[in-house]
Amino acid sequence: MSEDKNAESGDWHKGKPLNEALLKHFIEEDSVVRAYVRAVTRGHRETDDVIQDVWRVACMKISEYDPNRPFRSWVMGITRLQLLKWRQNLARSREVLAPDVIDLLADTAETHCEELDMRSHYLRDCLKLLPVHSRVVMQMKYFRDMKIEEIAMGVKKTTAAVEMILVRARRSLRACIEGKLQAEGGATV
Amino acid sequence: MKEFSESDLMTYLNDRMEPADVHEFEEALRRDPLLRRKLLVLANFEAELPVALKDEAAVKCDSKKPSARPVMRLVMRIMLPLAAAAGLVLALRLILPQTKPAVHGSLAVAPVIELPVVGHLVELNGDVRISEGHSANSIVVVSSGTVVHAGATIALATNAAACFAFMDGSLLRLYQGTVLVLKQTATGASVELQRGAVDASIRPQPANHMLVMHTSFLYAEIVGTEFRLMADSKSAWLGVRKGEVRVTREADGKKVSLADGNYAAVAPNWPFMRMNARVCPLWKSVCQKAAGTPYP
Repeated sequence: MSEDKNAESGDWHKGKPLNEALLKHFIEEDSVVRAYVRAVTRGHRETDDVIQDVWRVACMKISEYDPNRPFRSWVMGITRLQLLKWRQNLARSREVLAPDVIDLLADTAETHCEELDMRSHYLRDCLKLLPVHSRVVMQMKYFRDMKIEEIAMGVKKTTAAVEMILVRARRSLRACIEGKLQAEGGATV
Repeated sequence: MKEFSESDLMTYLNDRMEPADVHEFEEALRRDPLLRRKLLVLANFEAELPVALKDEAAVKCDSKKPSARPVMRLVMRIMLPLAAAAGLVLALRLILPQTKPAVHGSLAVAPVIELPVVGHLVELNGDVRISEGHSANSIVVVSSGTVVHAGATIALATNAAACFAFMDGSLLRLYQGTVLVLKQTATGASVELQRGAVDASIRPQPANHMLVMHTSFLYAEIVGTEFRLMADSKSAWLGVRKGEVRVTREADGKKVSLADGNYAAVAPNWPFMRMNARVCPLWKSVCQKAAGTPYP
């Protein structure tokens, strides 16, 4: 807590400017951080909230970052602390993972960071290969946050048909990613 | 010891796992690195899918220049935290006694600070210029993917059209002859439409942060919605496609709440009240004149 106060009063804008190189670092680490946070928090909304806090703190503390150290470890350290803070706020109201497991997941995420990066990259490639109608339905569900019933009305199909499209699209995306990883000689699930 | 299948992992990630099972799952995670990896792989897929689809949707706006995509990703992923950090700095500035808030008509606008970036242009047709300072030298003809900083003025020629993407994926479609200024305040982003027409598709805004769009005659506080705003030297018109917008008349502070299919205008000889766009044909003709297209 006091660390955060220091960061907030530390005037990030007076420190090292967020130049293009640092912005690129942020992007490069986004998928690993996102996977780690999602694995701990579970909900989409909570994932977004924690990630926003991570980047906010990272922006504020950027002047403390030593460019001779790996950026990933630095950001993962911040993420770990933000998740522990999130856990502290929620621990009484719901089941959340223990701090040592949160740490273990951070280590695993760092170990498999390249694989996670590749998977994110392939996901984008694979999305392009989906039939147009599947992509439209997925956009409605995951980008526009529409309910299945609303999507069904929009695309003039039954809710069961929409659910099936989503299931098949996800399955096909997963298979496509695994296929690309295998082709590259990477690890698959 | 229970083996956890992929379906169990999905149950956990969807927050549907029974509390007792969470303890067992936690124990399994503690001792099994392979299970941890599987969980992270699935979490990666679940977390990246909406982001990738959002990127796709935003890139669709730029159908002619797909090369803008990396810039899009950069902006979408970085701007939210930057905005949050800048908001914090602004909040600190606001509480300093020497800082006087600027006042725009009846709307008190927080002091404006130049942020690195508020978004970028993702689709351009025709002559579009950005002015980021006060001198004539700062006016630049822009191309798709151009990053726009807070305080910038975007001006479209009469034959031009453009699409502007905010940091959170919210989109503004700008029509011919539009001139607008993008700002960032302590309470969120602000768009000043000086003239022209804008279709807005605004993502739900974080609590206590709302997008404010204003003209000389009215301003609208937006929490997350789709609407069109049009302005000229004598009037301003706002119509809602989806969601709700609270519109305030600058002259006297009178407020009107608009929902799907409603519009309101501040114009000579025109009452400032909620109107139904389908019933009142004038909305259609104003849209046609300002944007060249009907709405919705």
